[in-house]
Order: sequence, then C-alpha cells, then structure tokens
Amino acid sequence: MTKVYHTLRFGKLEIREEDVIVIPEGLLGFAQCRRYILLEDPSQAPFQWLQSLDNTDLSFALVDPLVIKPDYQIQVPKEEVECLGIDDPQKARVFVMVVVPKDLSEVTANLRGPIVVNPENRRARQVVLMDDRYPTRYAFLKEIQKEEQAEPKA
Amino acid sequence: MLVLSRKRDESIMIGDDIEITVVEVRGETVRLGLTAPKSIAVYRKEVYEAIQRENVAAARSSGQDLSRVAKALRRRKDKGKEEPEGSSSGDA
Repeated sequence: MTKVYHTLRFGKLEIREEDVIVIPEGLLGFAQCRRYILLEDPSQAPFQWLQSLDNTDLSFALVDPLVIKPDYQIQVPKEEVECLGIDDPQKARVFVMVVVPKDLSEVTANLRGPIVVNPENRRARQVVLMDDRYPTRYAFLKEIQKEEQAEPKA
Repeated sequence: MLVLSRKRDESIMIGDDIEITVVEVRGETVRLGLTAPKSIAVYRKEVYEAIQRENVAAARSSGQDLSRVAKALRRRKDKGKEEPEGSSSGDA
C-alpha cells in the first residue's frame, strides 16, 4: 500500500509504508518529525536525502561518511545500538548530514552526529559521539582539494 | 529553571526514572553521576547545541544542488582505482 506525499524538494512522492524509516526520538532540533524516507538522485550520487514525511518541507542531504573520510570509524555506545534493535553493529548503516553554504566549496559534513539506521527494522537514531576527534563541520571538499594539490603532476 | 542546592553524594530525581547525583565537588568542577533509561540520551549541552545547529543548517541547505560536489567525489574515487604511474604491468 502506498501513500502520496507532496514534498518541497522532490514534488509528489508515492511511498510504501515498508520503506519508511522511523526515528523514534527524532533528530536533534526536530523532535516532532519521526517518519522519513531515504531518497536517491543518481545525478547527485553519492549524496542521498532524508525526506521528512511529517513535514514535507523538511529534508536533509546525507552521505556515507566513508566516501568523504575513508578512515571514519565510530564507536556507537552499546545502549544506542540496542535501542535500534541492532544485534550486529556491522549491519548498521551510517550516514552523516551535509550542510551546503552559499559557497559550495565550503560544504561540510557533521561527523560528530551521525545517523545510524538499522536496515532490518528501519529504525534510526542520531547518535552524538563522545569522541571529540570528529568535528561537527568537516570541510570534506576542501580536504579533497588539498589532496589533489599535493599529488605529483602527471 | 528550578534551582536546588545539593551536597556531595546527594541526589535529584527527575520523574521516576532519572537520577542525578553529585559525585564530587572539586573547586569549580562538579562531577555528576546520572542514571537514566537507555532510551534517553544524555549529552554535554555544548555538544547537543552544536549538533542541533548543524541539523538546522543542513535542513536549510538541503535544497541546494550538490552535483558539482558529487562530481568531485566521484573523480577522487575513480582516481583511487587507477593504476599508479610506473607500475610494472608489462606493457610493451
């Protein structure tokens, strides 16, 4: 069974209930919104969007942190993992939120507050990491540009 | 804001399920012990506020076109798969 939603960013969507991701506690600052759908736009891969179904104007750009920081390794507290019903942490899908300022080169990702999803029951949670190694604003595009400049010219 | 005074080893109950205990007071630093259900997340306020601020900024900016950034990421991924210069793959 599908339900139709009219969203600001993606227009009309037909969503199957079994695809809905539930964030029981909501995202920090958005406690009222609990139901989301994860959307892809192939032209913007690897970015995906978390579209709220409770507020159709609300969406967040997400990315797999390993794509922007291959050595990203997090310790999710056991209680948080249990809350999501995850028995094997390897099965969890992790995303980080992307913030796009007016200047695209200043794009950042929040590595300190990843979104952890249990793909088996489609429950998710925003985890606040204790580890202060990871910033809330990681300027990944700048890091990539630094790498490219450091490479020896062909 | 409710303001209570507690001495070391004294506690505060919030509802039935949350307990905060003053574990130690040393100079200006107070060590607090917390007991709460697993489903309730507990954070230092500054971190909470930073995450919340980034969430709000992300929500505001989610309408932007990321295709140029996406291209840069794909370019780097493809580069990582290329053979390094000077590898002895034996091309005559």
